[in-house]
Parts: sequence; C-alpha cells; structure tokens
Amino acid sequence: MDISRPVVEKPKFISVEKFVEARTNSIVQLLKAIDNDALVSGEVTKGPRTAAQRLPRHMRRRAMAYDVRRFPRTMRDFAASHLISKHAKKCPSRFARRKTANSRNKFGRSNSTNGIWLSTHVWHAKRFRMIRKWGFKLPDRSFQRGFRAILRDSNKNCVIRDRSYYTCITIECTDAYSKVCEFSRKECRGRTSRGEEEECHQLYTPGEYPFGYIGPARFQKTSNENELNVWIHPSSKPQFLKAFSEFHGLKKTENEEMDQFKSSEMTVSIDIQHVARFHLSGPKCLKKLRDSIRFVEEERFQGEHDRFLSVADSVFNSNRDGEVIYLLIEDPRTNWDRKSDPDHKKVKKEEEIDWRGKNKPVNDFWNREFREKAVEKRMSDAEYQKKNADKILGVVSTEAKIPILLIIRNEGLKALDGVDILIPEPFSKDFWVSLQRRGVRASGLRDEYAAHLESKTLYFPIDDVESEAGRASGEAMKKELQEKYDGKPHNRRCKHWSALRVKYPFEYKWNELVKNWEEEEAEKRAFVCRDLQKLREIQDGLMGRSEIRKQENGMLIPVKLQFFGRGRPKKFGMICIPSMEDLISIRRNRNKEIIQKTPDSDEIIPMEVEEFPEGEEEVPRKRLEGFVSLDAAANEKPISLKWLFEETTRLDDRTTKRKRVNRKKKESKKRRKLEYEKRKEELASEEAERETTNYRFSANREIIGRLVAGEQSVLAGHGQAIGYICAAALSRIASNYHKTKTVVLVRNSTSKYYHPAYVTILKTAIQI
Amino acid sequence: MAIRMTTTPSKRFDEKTNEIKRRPPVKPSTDPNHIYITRKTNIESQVKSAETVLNNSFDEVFIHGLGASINKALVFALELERRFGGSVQSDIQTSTVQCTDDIVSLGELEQTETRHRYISAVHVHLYRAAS
Repeated sequence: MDISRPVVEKPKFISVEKFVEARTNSIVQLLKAIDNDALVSGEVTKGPRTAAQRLPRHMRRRAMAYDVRRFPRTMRDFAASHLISKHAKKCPSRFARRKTANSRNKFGRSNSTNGIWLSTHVWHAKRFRMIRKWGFKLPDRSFQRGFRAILRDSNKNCVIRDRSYYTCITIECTDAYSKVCEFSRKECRGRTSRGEEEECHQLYTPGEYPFGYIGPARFQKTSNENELNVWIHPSSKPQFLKAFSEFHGLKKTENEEMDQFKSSEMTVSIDIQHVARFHLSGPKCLKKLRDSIRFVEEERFQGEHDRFLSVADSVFNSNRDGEVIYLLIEDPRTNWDRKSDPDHKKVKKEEEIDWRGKNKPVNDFWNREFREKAVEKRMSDAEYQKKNADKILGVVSTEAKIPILLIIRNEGLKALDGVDILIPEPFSKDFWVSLQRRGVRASGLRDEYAAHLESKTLYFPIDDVESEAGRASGEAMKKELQEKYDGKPHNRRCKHWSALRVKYPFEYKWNELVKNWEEEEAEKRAFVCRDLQKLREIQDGLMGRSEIRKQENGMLIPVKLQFFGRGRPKKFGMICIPSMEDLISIRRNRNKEIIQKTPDSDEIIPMEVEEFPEGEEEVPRKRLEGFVSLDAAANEKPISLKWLFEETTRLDDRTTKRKRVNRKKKESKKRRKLEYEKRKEELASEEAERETTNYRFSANREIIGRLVAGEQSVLAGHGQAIGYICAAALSRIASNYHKTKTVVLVRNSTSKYYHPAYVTILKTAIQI
Repeated sequence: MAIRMTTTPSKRFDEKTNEIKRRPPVKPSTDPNHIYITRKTNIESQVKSAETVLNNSFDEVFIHGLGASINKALVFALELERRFGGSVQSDIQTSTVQCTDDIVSLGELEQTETRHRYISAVHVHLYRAAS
C-alpha cells in the first residue's frame, strides 16, 4: 500500500493577493478563538501586562495594582517590582505640602520673581492679604480684625509690623560716615545723633540739590569708624546705589551670599537676608517686649539690660530718639508657653539724661561672627520640642545666645513712636511668635499708611512726588485708576472735565502747576522744600509774625490740612484759594456749600410760559389738599381700538416676529454706532478744550496744590489731609484768616463741593 | 561734637534757629481711674466718663493736672464733687514734675542740648465717703 502522501502538484506560480487573503482569513479565525469579547482584551495575545493578570480570575482583587498586600504572600516579591509606577512621583499630601519647613524651602527668599518672602511670611499668609510690593511679598491687611482694633491698640496697647524688607547697606571705608554724608543734606535733618544712635537722613544726589532727591535713609554708626550701616527703603535702593557707585566709582562684584560693590578704597555690601527688622509702636511696647524676652546673664551686657529694664515702664520719657540698646537674649521659644511673665531683676528707675555718654555700648550685634555663632547653635524645631517635652518646666536656656538691637523711636508722632528691633533672621519668626503670645497685635501696610496719616506725616514712597520711587508709585497708581475708570460703562463714569472741571483726576502734574504759577516764562521743574529752617520761616509768615519772602522758582511746600466743617478729603483732591465771598460765607456758616459750577450751568434757559387764548381767564390749577375728584372721566386714558382688537394670528406668525426682532436689533445697532461716534466726537472736543485750559485756572477757584493723602481722622473726628502747595501762591493765602488760622478750600477730584480747611506747614521730615 | 548738658530751666535759646522737642511727661499710673486733664480736654464729656468709673468699677479716682491745666483739673474735680452731692470727698496735693526737652539747633546740628524742665502739678484724690 502506498502510504505516501498524494503527490501535490506544486504550483509554479502563486498569486500574492490570493495567498495573503487566505492567510488573513486563517489568522482572523485563530484570533476569534483566543482573543474574543469574553476574555480580557490582549491577555492571551499580548501576554500578562500586570502582575495581577498572572493570577487566575477568581483570585484577582480590587486595588491590586496599587497595594502589594492584596497579592498572595508567595507572589508579593514578584508583584512588588511591577507596582512601581513609571510615571511621575505622586504629589505629597496636602498636609505635607503645607508644612512650614517644606513650603519655605521650596519657595523661600530666593524666589524673587514673585516677590521675596519675609521670615514671617508663612505666619502672615494665614492671616493677612499678601500683596506684591517693592519686590517683596508683604502683608497688606488682616483678615481677622479690622482697622479699628489696630488703631485702638496703637493708642493704648502695642502694635507690631514686620519691616524686614528695608535693606541694610553696609559701607566699609576709612571715615565712612563723612563719605555717605555727602549724599545727605544737613538742613533737612533736624536732629542729630550722639555716638551710636540711629538717625534719619534725607538723601540727595550730590551737586543737584534742591533736585535729585533719593529718599530718606537711617544711618547706624558702629564703634568702628570705618563702617556704617545705612537702612534704606527697597524702592529707593536702585537710585541710591546707582548714584553712590557712580560718585565713588564702584564696580559690582559677584558674590554668592550678597551683592557687593567694590573699589580700591570702599566696599559696599547689601544684606537683605541676615537681619530682620520689626517695628513695635504704642505706649506699652517696651513693657510687652520686656515680658517676651529672657536675658542671658552675662556681665558685659549687664549694664545694657539694666538700662532697658529701668526704662521699660515709662513712655519714652527717658529715651532720646534713635537711642540704641544692645541686649543678649535666650532663644525666644523658651518663652512661648509661659503663663507668667519672666522674673526680671528689679531695677531702680534712672533719670539720667546722658546715659549712653557714660556707658560704652556692647555692640556685639554688628559682629557678624558673633551672630553666626548664635545661628549655628540654634536648635531645630523638632529637637527643641522633644527636649521641651522631657522637662517639667520646659527648656529655660539653650546654647544659642542671641544678640538683638533696640532702637528707640521717639519723634513725637503719636501712632508711630515705639521701638525698632533688629534680630538675626533665623530667630526672627520665633521672636515674632513670642511677641504675639504676649498680645502684641500684628498689622500690615494699609495700617502703616493710616498710622502715618493719623500722625500727619508723609509716607515714603507713596506720598513722595519727587524721587524716582515716588514717581514710579505715582505712575503705577495712575495706571491702576485709569484701568478701573475705563472698565466702567460710559454712563457710570465720573465726568471729570465736563461736569467737574478736574483737569488731571489721576495724576498731579506738578511741573505744569508750578509753571502756571511762575511769573517768568521759564522751563522749571518742581521740587519739594525740605529745608526745615525755611519751612519754619514760611510758617511764621503764614501766622503773620514775619513777612513772606519770595521763594525759589518751582518750589513746592508740604502742608497739612485740618477740616473744620464738613468734608472727607481724598488723594488727588485740589487745594484752592477761597474768594472774598467764600471767606465771608465760611465765617457766617462753616458748613455752607460752595459749589463748582460748569459753564453750561451758567446759561440761562428761557422759562416755558403757557399761553392762554385771549378772553379766557386763567383757571387756578392748584387743587385743595385732600380733594378727591368725583368726576369719573378725570383719570381715564384713551386706548387705541386697533391695539385692543389686534389680530392674534399676526402675533403667532413666526416670520413676522423674527423680522420685527431683527429690525429692532438693527435699529439698536445703528443707534449704538451713532451714539458711539457722537461720544467720540464729544470726547475729542472735550480733550481739546482740556488741553488748552490753564491748569491753575481750570476750575472756578484757582488751584494752588493737590492732596497726596487724606481721610476722615478717627482719633480727631474730622477730615485731615496732607498735600503740597506752590510756594508762589503763599502770599495769596497768607491773609485768609479764620480764627487766626489760614484757610483754603479743598475739593475732591470726584466732587463739586469745596470744603474749607485750615492749612499749616508740615515741618517734620519724611522718615522711614 | 560739643554736647552741652544743663539742668537749669531758665536757659534761653533763639527760637528761630533752634527747635524744641518736648518728650511726654511720665504718668504716675495708667489705670483707668487715673484721669489726666490737659488743655484740650472737654470737661463735660470727661465728667460723664469719670462718673461711670466711680459708679461702676472704682471707689476712688485720681485727677492729675499739669501746668496750664491745673485750673481746669480743679474745676473738673469740683464739678465731679458737685454731681455726687456730698457722697464723695477729696484730698488735694501739689507736686513738681520733671520733664525733658531736646533742643536741636537747625543751623549747626552738632549743637544739641537736652535739659530738664520742672512743671507744677496738682493731684486730686476723690473717693466715696464712708457712710
């Protein structure tokens, strides 16, 4: 028997198409058997993708892909390797993300694009609205309590503000003080320092006085004559550094820790990180400070400690403005949880005028190595808490002995007097919390601004108009206000020019105002008079004690205004000269309304006169009071019959309806377009009129100055404001007396009412 | 730097070239029953608050007046006594308070001076009479 296979005739040629078709069919049949809907897709064909797929179906459990413990023990080792995700790491938990240490490490001070964080940032961010300002993230206002609580505490208790954003510039060269004093004007200072006291200077670019104002700065001398610390506002820092390095020929050098400017003789280093600066104000500030610190008993510091304890009870009577006290304290955390105040030594009150003259300062604070030694020995929070829990009385002393520096601020400004504290940065947050636990109220920028206004002083840089920082702040303010104004619908916008005759509602334009007031036609820039002696002379002139002399061209004089009638002044308000009639009416009634009139309101509109046909007598129209007409036809109105019997079918007609709607749309579009064009024309003509009008004579009363800040004073119960006036206008207001005080009129930029106010010259220098 | 020190109050200085900065005087106590009368105090409203203090929280009040406000402080004490119609009694004491002034020369900043000034003061102790 032939068992051999039948001879298959091998084809000599194959058609590729047929061959592929036949193979495809067979593959499809195969796949139908092993990869159908009943099975897990791809399990057989592509092999097990996960460890769980190795298991029989009945042994698979939920969450096996995430949790290795869901696997049978024997398979766990194998499964663990499959569970590690190839994707990005999981985000840490919300709790972990919000841990203070983590967030500060991640974002911290180095992130200067979004604003540098202060050391107390995390504490503040939970309680305050944070805003970006001057390159920092700063607390603006509290979410917890309002404005009044802070005001009350600043009068009776104690308020604290973090001013660590001020920059400390250290200048090292031979006789550093006199070299920096070339930038400071002597006549603008008004007070001096003895020895190492801190003092406020007004910085000007050398050779440009009275122009070229840079800003206020605080100078802190150390026992080393070749070193000087200058504290400056961050907004005026670039201008100062530019002027200073140009003047002394300094060049910037790269340094990892801090920015440095160097020349062969001089080194200028800028430190924004290592020292924190807090400002405490209020009558109880020294007392609260005393209760929240624990002194290190070291002989060298004993004199300083005794001095602090002896003055801590008094309200700055024994302290000169700018006096410094150096203290050495324990870690502030040791004082956090104490219910009773620490036992300080009883010290007899000293009535020493010149205490500092007899006691040499122990200024270890300015010794950088000394500070760093304390920082190195600082216990971490975890370590401290662990140690604290072990002891019954808690930790009383740690290895870190912290030098701090107190600067007394006693300038006679009620809401701002107090004490400035300098402390090494790593301890500052602990110190801040320690003060919080003694009931010191934290406040933000808004409250600082309000405190300056209550104390009737200018606030740098917002109230300044001359320095670069002030101008930048003015520009930013203008932009913000203009955007807000443009965002309103046109019929809700205040008609500043057409109705109120306010030429510049969002800016000051001092140069133009000054130019309008000068008799000689000359290109003059405005500058602010900060010479204290000159300001005193002007004040005497206003009081009638002496003659008012002619001042330099372009001079602006800072003034404070007190409203004695109605009126709540605002920024950008206008200070005007009252006319003789106004003065008389103010003397008769201080609340009499004085109104700005527009040219349109002067036009006399002819009264409509109803004409009666001859022969008929005029019927008296006035009815008796309470008279009810019994005539039924009296209140009837004629109704159109066409409207009443309108065909209902027409209303249902969709086409007609659509057409009507479309017609209305078109009409309104056309109307809108026409109105827009009309408005545009009006605006253009208004603009042209505004441009040609003289700033000084733009309103009914002559404008002599503008307000830079103003508000209803909570303490005094009347409006008060701060502004600048042109020196050339002084002679015009000097004789306007009301009860021996000089009177001007003030109008807000959104109001037509003029309010009378007493004007006095602001003789205190602007401070930081 | 020349620092002149003096405690004699009659030292005169030129007001045009010098500025005087007065430090606030020390208060004997900051308790709410110590009332400090100044030239700016409104007597009527102050009497009302003193009345509430005497009626509600304290049996005694202390009234302090300094310099120009001595007269006003005494008027205030008499008015308070009149309102209580014999139910309160008063003791009066006078004293001298030491104040500190800083005199700053505007022209030459190096000439600065700190000095003490003595002001007369009156203290009235008003207390409820034992019945």
